[in-house]
Amino acid sequence: MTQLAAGLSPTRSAAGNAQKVDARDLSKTFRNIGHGAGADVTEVLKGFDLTIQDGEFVALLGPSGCGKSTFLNIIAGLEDFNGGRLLLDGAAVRGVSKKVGVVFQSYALFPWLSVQKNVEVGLKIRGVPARERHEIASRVLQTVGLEGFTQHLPHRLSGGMRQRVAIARALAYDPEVLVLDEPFAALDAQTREFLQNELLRIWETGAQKKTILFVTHSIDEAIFLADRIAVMTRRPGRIKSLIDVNLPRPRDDSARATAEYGRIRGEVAAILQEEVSLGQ
Amino acid sequence: MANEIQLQAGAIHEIPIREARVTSITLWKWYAKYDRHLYGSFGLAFFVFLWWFANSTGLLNPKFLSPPQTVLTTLIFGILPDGDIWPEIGPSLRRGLEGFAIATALGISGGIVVGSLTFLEKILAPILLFFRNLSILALFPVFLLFFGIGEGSKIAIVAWASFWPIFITTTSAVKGVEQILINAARTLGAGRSYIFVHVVLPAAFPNIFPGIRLAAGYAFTALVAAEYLGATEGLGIYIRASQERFEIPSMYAGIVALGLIGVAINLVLIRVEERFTRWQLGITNR
Repeated sequence: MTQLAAGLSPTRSAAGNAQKVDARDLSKTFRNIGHGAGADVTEVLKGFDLTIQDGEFVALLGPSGCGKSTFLNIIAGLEDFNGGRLLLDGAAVRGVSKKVGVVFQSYALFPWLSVQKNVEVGLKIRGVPARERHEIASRVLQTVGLEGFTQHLPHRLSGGMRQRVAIARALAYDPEVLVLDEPFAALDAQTREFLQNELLRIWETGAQKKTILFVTHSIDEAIFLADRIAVMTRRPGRIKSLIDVNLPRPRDDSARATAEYGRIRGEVAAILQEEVSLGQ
Repeated sequence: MANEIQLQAGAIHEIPIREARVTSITLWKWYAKYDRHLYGSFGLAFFVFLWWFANSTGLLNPKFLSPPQTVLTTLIFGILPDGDIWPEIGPSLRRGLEGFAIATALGISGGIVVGSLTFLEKILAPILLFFRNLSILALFPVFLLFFGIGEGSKIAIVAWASFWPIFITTTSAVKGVEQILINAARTLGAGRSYIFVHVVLPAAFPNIFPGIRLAAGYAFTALVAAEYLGATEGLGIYIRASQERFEIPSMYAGIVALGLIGVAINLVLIRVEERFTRWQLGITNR
């Protein structure tokens, strides 16, 4: 990550390539309690460094159980950490930040609220008046292509549509950073590719590009979406390699057929392979 | 003009066909909607028949069990505005509902707090275990001491009895709320009170409601017991006084009236439950 920070002042705060997220030497341990817990503590993250620039799309890739979701939860403010430091816009992360929007793998929609009301929740909490809230939610739902389903309850929708509602809900209050935890992992292949394209379209056409951290275990998904791929080691997790994805934007499915794509795929697969075989 | 004629022509043409179809569909729909009630009425009719049969054949002593038709007429005359049951209903209903309302408010709020704060649950566990298993009859004297012989002690007894099922189901329902929903609300910026009211409560509600309905039953059980112990008016005292005066049909009429109130309250609660858990239709197999 040093090569990316090179030539940039880390304290630059103007729009452009200022550091949005800056994790240094982060560590996280879980205490094991109860029968069959094994060792007393599990080190999930150790020496974890990652810097994400403003407006950058970073994919976090790693073997299962490597702590990538833990790091996401830490950024989201849902979990704390034991050592190191984590800065968001130069300020230490303490609890949930209103600058961060989160999309979960299991959608986590409120099943008793209509699609429209689900999308409005974040705005309601921020005290946005009802009319304005309604307008914003309608607009965001249109962006994700669900304008015809505003009054549906979530369980009436397919998995792909539910995840689009969840994305709309996170986008509605316009967070500067969007973190997504394997959001398309539970979807079928066609829906997954469709939503990858949708996510890129929404992100690339956004008025101000959001900073995105996208956790995934799919190499293809990471290459197709991200500016940069951060590959993690197995547990205790830290960043093993950072790989730039120099595929032109806006990207579409043709990007998947390019030589550069194939080259990166080989590179990332080799790194991951090494980690997985080390773990055996 | 032209429109009117067309409309009329259409009407004349369509009515016979539509009506025939409508009748069969309505009948079928009616059956689909009410078949539960249909079976229920058979069961009820059979029960009343057995009652009547046992009575008229002398299988059960008619002195102790009045025949259904006598009980029914006593009940009907009793609940007329100038009947003798009518003035007893109000006081009982008021006590029952007041106690039940207090129990619902305290049970749900207390259950949410205790259910979501693990340390509090651990601290309170032994005390709660002790009280929830303690016989309500044993506590009567205590309530009398604190709230006196009047309305206060009766309402308190009802509230106590119906508090526990609500409190216990709420506690476990709250613990069953998916953490991911709470996390989602937190990432959306929700504070603790917002999460309680707008996430935990609605998510737990379908599992709280059986406790509320159970509590309604407990409320009226405790109410009658409280009225037995000392009251000047109320269905409980009416039933007991009728037995003491050996007005057996009145006694049964009082029991049936009490039972019907219980049924009515349960029906209302089912409606309320449907209203609050409508979003679950299609998720669960109800």
